[in-house]
Amino acid sequence: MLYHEFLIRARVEDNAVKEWVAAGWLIPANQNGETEFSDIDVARAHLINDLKGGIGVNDEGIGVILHLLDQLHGVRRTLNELLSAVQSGPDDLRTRLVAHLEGTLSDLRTGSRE
Amino acid sequence: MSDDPYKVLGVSKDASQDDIQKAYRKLAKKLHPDLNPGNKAAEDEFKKVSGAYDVLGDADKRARYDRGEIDASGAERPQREYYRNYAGTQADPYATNEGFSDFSGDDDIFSSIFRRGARSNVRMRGQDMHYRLELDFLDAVNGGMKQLTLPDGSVLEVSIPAGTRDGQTLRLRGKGGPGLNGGSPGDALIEIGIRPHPVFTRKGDDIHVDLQLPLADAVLGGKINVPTIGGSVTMTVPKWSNTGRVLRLKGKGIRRADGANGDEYVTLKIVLPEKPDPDLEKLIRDWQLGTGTPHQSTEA
Repeated sequence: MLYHEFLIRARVEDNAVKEWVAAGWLIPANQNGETEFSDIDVARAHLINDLKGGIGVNDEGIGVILHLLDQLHGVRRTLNELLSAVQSGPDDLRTRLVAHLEGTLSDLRTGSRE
Repeated sequence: MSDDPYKVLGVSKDASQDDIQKAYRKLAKKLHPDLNPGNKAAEDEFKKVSGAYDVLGDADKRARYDRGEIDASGAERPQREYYRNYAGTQADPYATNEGFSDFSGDDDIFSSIFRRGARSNVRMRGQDMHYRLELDFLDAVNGGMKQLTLPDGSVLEVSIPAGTRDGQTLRLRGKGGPGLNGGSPGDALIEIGIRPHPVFTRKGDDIHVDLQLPLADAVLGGKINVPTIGGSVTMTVPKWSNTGRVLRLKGKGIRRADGANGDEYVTLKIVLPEKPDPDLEKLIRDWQLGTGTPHQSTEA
C-alpha cells in the first residue's frame, strides 16, 4: 500500500513510523529499494499504539513484548504445522502420540499437586 | 454493548479519571487480544472494556454519559483487525523460530524443520556409530586419554573423564558417519566396559578395600600402609581393632563431576603371622589362664 495510506490506516504520524522502524518494531518489506507496508504492518502498528497509549507500556517494554510475541507466534505456527502433519499422518501415529501426551500431561498434573 | 461502563471497568460512579485509567490498563493488560493470541473470548471482553473506556476515559464524554445524553454504545469503535489475525501465518515476516534454537541438538531433523528455511532441503545428519571400549579399573577411575582403533583402521582419541562408570556411554561429537546434504556428521557413541580390580571395589563414588591387618597392629594399634586409587597412604589403626571394623579415608574415593571426592572405606581383616610362632602361642596360653577361659576349641 502507499505510505500515505499506511499512515491513515495505522493512525500514526510519519515521525513515529520512522522511530518504530529504526527500533525494529516495524519491518516493512523491501521491494526494489522501496519500503512497502502491508496489512500486517497496519495491525502491528495498532498493537504498538495500544501498548504505548492504552496500556501504558514504556518504550523498552514494547521492544520486549514484541520480541516475545514474535517468538510466541513462531512457536504457534510450528505447533500448527506439526498438528496438521500429525492429522494427515497414519491413525497409528496419532493414537500413539495422543497416548504419549496424555501420559506426560497427567504426570505433570500429579507432579504439580505434590 | 449497552452494559454499564462503570460496571465493566469495575469502578464506582465517583471514581477519578486517574482511577478509571488505572482500572482500564489493568484489564487491558490482561485482555488485549494480541497479548492472548489463542484466546477467542479475550476479543469480546476487550471490546467491552475498551468501549467502556472510550466513554469514561474522556472527561467530557463521561459527563455527557452521566447526564444521559449518550449511551454506552455511542462510542463503539469501528471494527478493527488485531495483529494476531496476521501473525504466525506463512507470510508473517515477524514470527521467529528463535524459540526453538535450544531444541535437542542443532542437528536433529525435527529441530531443523522447526528452525525453518530448511523445509524443502532437510539436511540429514550422519549416523551415530556405536563402539565398545574396555578399560582397566584405574584408567576409568583416574581418567586419561585412550586410543580406539576403528574397524576401518583409523584411530580415535578418546578422552576418558575421571570417574567413568561401567556401562557408561561416551559421546564424541561429529565422529560418527558423515552427514547428507551438508548436514553435520553423526556422533561416535562409545560404551565403556571396566575390568574388575583385584583390590578395589567401587560403590557409587566410594572405593572399598579389604585390608590385611597384622595381629600386633590389631591389638596395639599402629600406622599401616593402605592402597588408594591415587597411590598408597598411611593410615592410623586404633588399638584393639577387630576384624570387620571399617575405617574411612575421607576424600580418597572417586572424583565427582562437582569436584568433590568420594571416600575410601577400609575393612580390616586380622591375619596371623604366616609361620607358627611358639612365643606367641605361649603368650596366648598364659593369657588364657589369666582370664580363666580354658582352651577348648580342639577338644570340642
